[in-house]
Amino acid sequence: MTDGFDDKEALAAEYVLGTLDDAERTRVRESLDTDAELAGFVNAWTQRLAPLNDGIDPVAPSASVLQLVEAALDRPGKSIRSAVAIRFWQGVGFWRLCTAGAGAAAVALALILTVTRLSPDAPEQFVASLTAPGAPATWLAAVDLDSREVRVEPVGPVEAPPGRSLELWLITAAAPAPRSLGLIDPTHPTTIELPSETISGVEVTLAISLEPDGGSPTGSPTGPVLYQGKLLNLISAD
Amino acid sequence: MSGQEDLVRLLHLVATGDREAYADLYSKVSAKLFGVALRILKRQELAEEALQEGLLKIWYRAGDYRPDRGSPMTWMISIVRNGSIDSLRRVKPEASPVDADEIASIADVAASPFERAISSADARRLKACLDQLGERQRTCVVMAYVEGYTHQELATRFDCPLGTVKSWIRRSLSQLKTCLEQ
Repeated sequence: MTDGFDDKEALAAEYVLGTLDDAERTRVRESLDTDAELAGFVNAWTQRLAPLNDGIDPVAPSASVLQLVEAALDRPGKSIRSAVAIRFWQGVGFWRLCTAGAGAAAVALALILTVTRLSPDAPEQFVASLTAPGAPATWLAAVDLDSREVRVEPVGPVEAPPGRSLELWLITAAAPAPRSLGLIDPTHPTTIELPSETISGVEVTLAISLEPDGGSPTGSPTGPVLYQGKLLNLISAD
Repeated sequence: MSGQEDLVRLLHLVATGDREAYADLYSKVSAKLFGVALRILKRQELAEEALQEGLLKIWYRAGDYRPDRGSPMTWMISIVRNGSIDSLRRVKPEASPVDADEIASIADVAASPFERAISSADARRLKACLDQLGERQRTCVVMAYVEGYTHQELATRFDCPLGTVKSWIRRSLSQLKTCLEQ
């Protein structure tokens, strides 16, 4: 090129502009650590286009955002090597669809988290935090794909009414019907083994529902989903 | 202390694990960061997810921030913006159907950031250089940046061939660079 704007710089500029597709973005990001020239281009274009941010209006996020992030940072114990992102589903329609006919479960508590392996070399541990706005419950869930365990821990006060149990469910893209992983303790951390064949996929969903004592009698969850959390890789460079 | 110096100070404290500084930083930047994520992802729950991910990255990477690589706000916005675009690409790999009202509003939306963006010398220079582009080229660049549209989505929205949009974008970026370096 004779215009001082070669293919590599064009790629960097378009990465910053945002027009690249998923595969192209991944390629650029994976090269940033090893290609100083590319990283320099990306930084320069980030600065050049930054004034475009000025025109974007601030919007206050939900109060739960900081609460969830801080709950994730509060998680004691082993180092957190991976990112946390929390999705809050405003509605409960999804779960209602799953549990049509289950009736109004006023005290039902449920949470879902989604584990996403972003790349084959992504860390094997994931953590998510989940709270229930309008209900004083905060949960942290950690998934360790090395030991094939999920640890679910109540951080805030969680009460299962007398005669009811909290049950953990696994949902995968390959097996979308919820599968029971077992009951969990509303007052103490519970560690449950993950079935080996179900975790190899890209996406895994876990859910906690309130069930009759001893667990769901039907083999399917019976509470409304109030929350969902997604785990993402924190380590990936920008 | 200027707002920018304050953010640099807070990032340095956050890098040492100072949770109070983190909460303070959150109160100062979260609305702007969420605004950026929401413009790209449109949906509240996806934007909050991207914000949460970005906030955690800021916590873990605060020590990586270098003042010589731009303002702290630009650095933080870049983290949230990149995460938002990544999320958008995963959620919506195909161009969504275009509606006529949206096409009609593109010019307005694209112009608006610059009516309010002339707050700094850098912004004035970028605006002057964008003004030298053709109207559609300028709109493409601004829409891509602010709304996170792909080449394909821009081609659909402008009802023109993909190759045309690609060459608009590339030529526009090249022209912008030349103009900004003058």
